[in-house]
Amino acid sequence: MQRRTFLSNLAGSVAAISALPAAYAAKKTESSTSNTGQASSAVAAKGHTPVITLNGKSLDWTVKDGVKEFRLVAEPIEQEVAPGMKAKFWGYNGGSPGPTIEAVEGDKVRIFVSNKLPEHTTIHWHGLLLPNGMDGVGGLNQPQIPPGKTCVYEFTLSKSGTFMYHPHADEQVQMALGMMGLFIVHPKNPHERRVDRDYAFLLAAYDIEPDTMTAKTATMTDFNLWTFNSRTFPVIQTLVARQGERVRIRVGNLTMTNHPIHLHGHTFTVTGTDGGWVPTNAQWPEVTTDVAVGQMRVIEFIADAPGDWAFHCHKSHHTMGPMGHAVPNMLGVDQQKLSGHIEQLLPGKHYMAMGSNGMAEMQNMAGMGEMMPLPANTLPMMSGAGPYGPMEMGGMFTILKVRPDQATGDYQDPGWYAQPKGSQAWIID
Amino acid sequence: MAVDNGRFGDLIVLLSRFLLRGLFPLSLSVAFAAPTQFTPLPRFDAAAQTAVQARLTQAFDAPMAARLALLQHPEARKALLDIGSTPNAVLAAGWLQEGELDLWQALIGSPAKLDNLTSQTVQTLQQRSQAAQAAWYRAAAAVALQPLLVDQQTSAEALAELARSRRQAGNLSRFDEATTLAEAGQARLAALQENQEASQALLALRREMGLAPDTLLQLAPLPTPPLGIPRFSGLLDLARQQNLLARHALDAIRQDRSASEQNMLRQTTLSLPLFSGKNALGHKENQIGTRLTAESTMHELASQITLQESALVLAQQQWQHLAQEVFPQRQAANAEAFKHYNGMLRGVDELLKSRTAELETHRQLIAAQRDYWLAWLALESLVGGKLPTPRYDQPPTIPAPSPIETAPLHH
Repeated sequence: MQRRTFLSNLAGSVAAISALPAAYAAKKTESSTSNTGQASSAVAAKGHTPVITLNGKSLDWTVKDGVKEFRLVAEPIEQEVAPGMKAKFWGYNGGSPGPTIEAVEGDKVRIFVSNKLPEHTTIHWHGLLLPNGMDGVGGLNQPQIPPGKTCVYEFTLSKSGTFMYHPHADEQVQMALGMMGLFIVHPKNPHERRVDRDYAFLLAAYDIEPDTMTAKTATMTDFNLWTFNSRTFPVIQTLVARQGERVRIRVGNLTMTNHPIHLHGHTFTVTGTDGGWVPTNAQWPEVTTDVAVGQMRVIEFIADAPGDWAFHCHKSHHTMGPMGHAVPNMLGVDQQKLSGHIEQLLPGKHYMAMGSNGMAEMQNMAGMGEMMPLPANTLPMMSGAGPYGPMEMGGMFTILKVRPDQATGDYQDPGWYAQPKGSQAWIID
Repeated sequence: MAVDNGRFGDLIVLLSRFLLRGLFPLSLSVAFAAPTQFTPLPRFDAAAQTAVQARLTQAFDAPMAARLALLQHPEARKALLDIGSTPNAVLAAGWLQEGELDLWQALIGSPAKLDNLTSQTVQTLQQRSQAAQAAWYRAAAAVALQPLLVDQQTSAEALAELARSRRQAGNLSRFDEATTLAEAGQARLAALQENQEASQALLALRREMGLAPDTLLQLAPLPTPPLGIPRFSGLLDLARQQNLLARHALDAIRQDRSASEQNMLRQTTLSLPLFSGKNALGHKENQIGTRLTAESTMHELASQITLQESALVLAQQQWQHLAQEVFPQRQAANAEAFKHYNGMLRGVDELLKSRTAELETHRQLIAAQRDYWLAWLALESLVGGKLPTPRYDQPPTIPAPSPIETAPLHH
């Protein structure tokens, strides 16, 4: 049976969409308030705008003799990447990425790193200026941290900015398994470079075969999970802003390829890199900024346009779920006779031809449950249900929701945007 | 009927249906243009022939095929006449009752002393029984294989259709199209050849049962071999009683015992006088020759039984490995391939290849099932009758190849 024929037999596309199981519908209700724990409160108490780590949180600290002490535990974890799919990662403090370290320019920090991995590790503080012996390159700056041991890093934060941390030991394996985190240093003066909302996430890519849980550690190019903070759309947290607020988004790239990050509906400027803040007179307007491997980009804009705006990597296959790279091109192929043969070979299996008219119908097919079963522990190539139908997205995609009535400091998802009358495109034939 | 690429599978389906109904009328019918027609003789075989025709309206298994063959095949009927019996008399003795067939016990009983004529007749009946059963196993396997062969043809045609339609849409190079079409063509050819062999198996069964080539047959399903490695004891002892060659050999040894004992006492020189022109053993040489010939027969029989028992074990292991390991995994792989296809993770080409691999494994499984019973029959043939119930050993896993056995084997 041709998939298009099958779909036309349904009551209608609306019925088909409503038939999607909850797992494949957009899950946009995750509250960002969980992000504002003790660490964020402490940051806010000092007058800084706390960083909202998408689907993550900031690391608590204690102060001892004037030094901020943080504790990271490197360990194997199991984490949901998307609805119905879990992955075995290596992470920090139970998550991938690890918790965001937030501190203030001038702080002296002491970071205890305990290794519960089956092999040695280290942490490199990417972009931070610090003594050579604290730079975390195993074998070069320090001995490797053996399993079961704890290493102490101690340095003073000499400049504010957006940084990362990741292992500098068996990198190919440890970063392929999700070991990374954000390190945000706020300016000493809380009014300097102040924004109303400050979001941050890391770009990470994994190669996890459908029906498996562990990322392949030898993959160099053919990744199949493109993530913000080790989650794929529609699990990635929505960004929310009140109309008129100044919004900052910090993006770090620890994948093995570049990512042109694109924001709809707004013009932004790149205000910072992992090298520091970009002088105002060196900034220029953009709607897409390319984040190369090992780079960080900080973009800022005024959220002046109400609506639901897509925010994503512009490489089209990075906004998709897993798909077979060797699937034959069936576009324009008449599959009528072929379908007859296969139905004869696979009786009772509800075989449906696909790809003759494009791949968009795939999302509806993925929602048919037992009738069209998928392999275990994977996700559809396309997913996300919007107010007007399937969004046919996945991977590195989320939504910026700008509302005039969003309360300051409220990160709750406001729901779908109600298009003002006469402002929405319409279909005429 | 026009035969083109697209209709190839349909042709096979039709041929298969004709074959199963005994209606394969064209090329093969030339060899059997004059179907066997027997004129029943009331006192000799009229009742038996009626019973045979009635029994053929129901499904029958291998032992029943042998029973029917002994009432129906001309050579078997002649053998019965030679020993003063008739098909009618054999039928009246309850010959067509269902159950396992123990030809020796049914015809002769044990112990029995056979004259030469009776011995030859029994041998003929044994061979007829064996031939009918072997043909039945091949035919039953052929029937089981028919739908698989049709599916294999369909699978090959689907791959070809995929290539043609993709080429037509401008999505496949001529090179890839030609390569795929060639592979699909070869697969169809192989399936066609197997289909013809299967057809011949059905014709062979009719021949071995003494039936006309257009006789309708209903075969019971090919039985499943037992799990575990069959281990026998006492096969050679059984063969001494039931194998006619063995009986003759043993008789010759008994008759020649006294002569050979005398000859064993003679001393020969250490240098073998092969070319001396002298007769080292004198007038007893013919008697010793008889004994050695008989010993050679028994030696050969013991070796063949051992070899055939080993072949049966191998056949059982091959079948069990396919049934318990390979085929279930092929089925699972195909089920998973379908899920991957649904998710656009694998293409329809991989789905088809997975199904083709499953079909091929299923074909191997049925062939192994058939080969097990043929090996069983071959062992029965050596022993001269029904095998004793073996002990079945369960191998924990697929055994690794073992070193060549050098220790003595005992039966």
